[in-house]
Amino acid sequence: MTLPIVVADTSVLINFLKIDRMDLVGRYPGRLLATDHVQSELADDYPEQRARFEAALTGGLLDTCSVTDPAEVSLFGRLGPGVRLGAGECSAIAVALSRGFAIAIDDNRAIKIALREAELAGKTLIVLRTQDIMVALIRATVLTVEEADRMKTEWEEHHRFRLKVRSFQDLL
Amino acid sequence: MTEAELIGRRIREARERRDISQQKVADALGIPRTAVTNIEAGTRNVSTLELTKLGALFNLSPAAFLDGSAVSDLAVVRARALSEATSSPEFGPVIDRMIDLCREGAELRRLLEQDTTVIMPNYAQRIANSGDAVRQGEARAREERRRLGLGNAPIGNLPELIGDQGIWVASAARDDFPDDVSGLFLHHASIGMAVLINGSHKPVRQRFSYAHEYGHALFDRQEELRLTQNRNSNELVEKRANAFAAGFLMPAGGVLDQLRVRGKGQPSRQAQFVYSVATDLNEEAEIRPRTGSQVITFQDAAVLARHFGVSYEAMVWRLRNLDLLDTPATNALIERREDGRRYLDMLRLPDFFDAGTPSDEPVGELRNQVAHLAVEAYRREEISQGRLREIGRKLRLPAADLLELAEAAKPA
Repeated sequence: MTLPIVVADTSVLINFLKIDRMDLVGRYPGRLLATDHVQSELADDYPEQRARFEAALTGGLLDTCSVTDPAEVSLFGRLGPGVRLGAGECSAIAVALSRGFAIAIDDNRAIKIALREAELAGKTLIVLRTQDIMVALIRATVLTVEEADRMKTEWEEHHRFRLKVRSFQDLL
Repeated sequence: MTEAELIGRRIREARERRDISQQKVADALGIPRTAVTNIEAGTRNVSTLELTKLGALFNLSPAAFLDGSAVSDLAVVRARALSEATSSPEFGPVIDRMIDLCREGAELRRLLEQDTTVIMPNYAQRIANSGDAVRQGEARAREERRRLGLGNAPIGNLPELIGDQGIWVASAARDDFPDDVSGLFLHHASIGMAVLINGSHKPVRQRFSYAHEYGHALFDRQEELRLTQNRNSNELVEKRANAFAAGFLMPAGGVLDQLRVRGKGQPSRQAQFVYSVATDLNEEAEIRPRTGSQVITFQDAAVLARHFGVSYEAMVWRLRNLDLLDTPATNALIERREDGRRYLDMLRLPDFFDAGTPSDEPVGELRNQVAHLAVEAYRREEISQGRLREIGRKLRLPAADLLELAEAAKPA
């Protein structure tokens, strides 16, 4: 089953970049899209991951887009970049809401604001966290539970990224 | 006017206020200059990434171009600062950066619901003449030391102490500051009070400048902006701030204590009265220190300067001001400045003298203040991780490391 297009924020992409598993982003059963803002953030804040991200783009594992549509730019401004959210998060939320895409994001504050904005606009917004992407990959038989759990351990032990589940088995 | 034209006009106004060319904007955005012309004319849509880059270039929020808040009244303060200071091409960006970081800090304080009510006393008072300026400065320095519980001790981390009073404290990097400006004090409803120090000056002079600008915060906060520079050094408010700084950094009691420790600072004759149990009367005796023993030498001045973290000259003039030196002795000590330096060099204490290397750190304490607020705001989930990384970039900190450390501050 093909899932809807997902606009991916830096917070999710960086998890796959850090363990050098961008191949999973390409094998996700739905297309992933990153705004040019997110691309710029990854280059600025995680220069050591730049080559991996560019290789993923070149390999067609995900797409990028620029946010120039006046309605999306206006929504971006309304989300208040530079107050509670970063500009990259605002651009991803604006694109997801405006185009009816899902959003992949891990930050609680950003999720709260995105859902509130969706409610105000009378729209439904699907929010996926890293663990939801992993579950979708397991369901699509791209990953086994054991492989996914090993990735979880690597995130926890080496990258300070904690998931609040014991095993992905609990989420299936 | 269309939305694109409105945005374009705001971009052009922000650019022109900063006297930045279209070419420089084009270079920052990585687009041709003609594209900038089209954006400003409203004939080309601007992307959110371009708006963010423009915001970084002009030290504005990207939303400012969309909602019109780019035309901040802080721009008026900025323009005044630039017109009052000797022309320096790098001074504008320095002021912009400080204002931007203060704005970030003020916004974080608001999100954290921190009480920003200034607890500092307001010593505003009319000054009649120079003597009055010095008297006020001295008296309030004593009072302020008492209020802060400093006693007669030297002040350690002065920027931190001022920052703890709710004032934003920054120093500008070398070469970015007009040399004749030692610091500025800024007070605006949107950001609160801030002091900015010329970071190209020697550390001990910077300490004096911090104390001087703190004096302005105590006496002159009704003013939005005050620059401390050579050409206004004769103004009474400047004299008062100087007297405050001297008294604050070198308290009279502390100076006398230090001299006493060295067996100095005693009167040339001292009458002593002793009760005699045999005669049931007072017996009088006179103590005369040995000839020359009370002379304050360059070693004394140098060691005292090191003790209080001030320059040799500042210390000598303080001794004169406390009437511990007469004019010839003062001049003689000033002339022996190099001997004082050699003396401390010999003791391997140059960093405490008027030497030391000015810091390359562009914002100093302000960076600590804003970083602390940002991590706390992230920990409480008042701001997102994207926002935290953004603030990290503005503070010129490794954003990913800042996020990782902030993450570690969160409960498990």
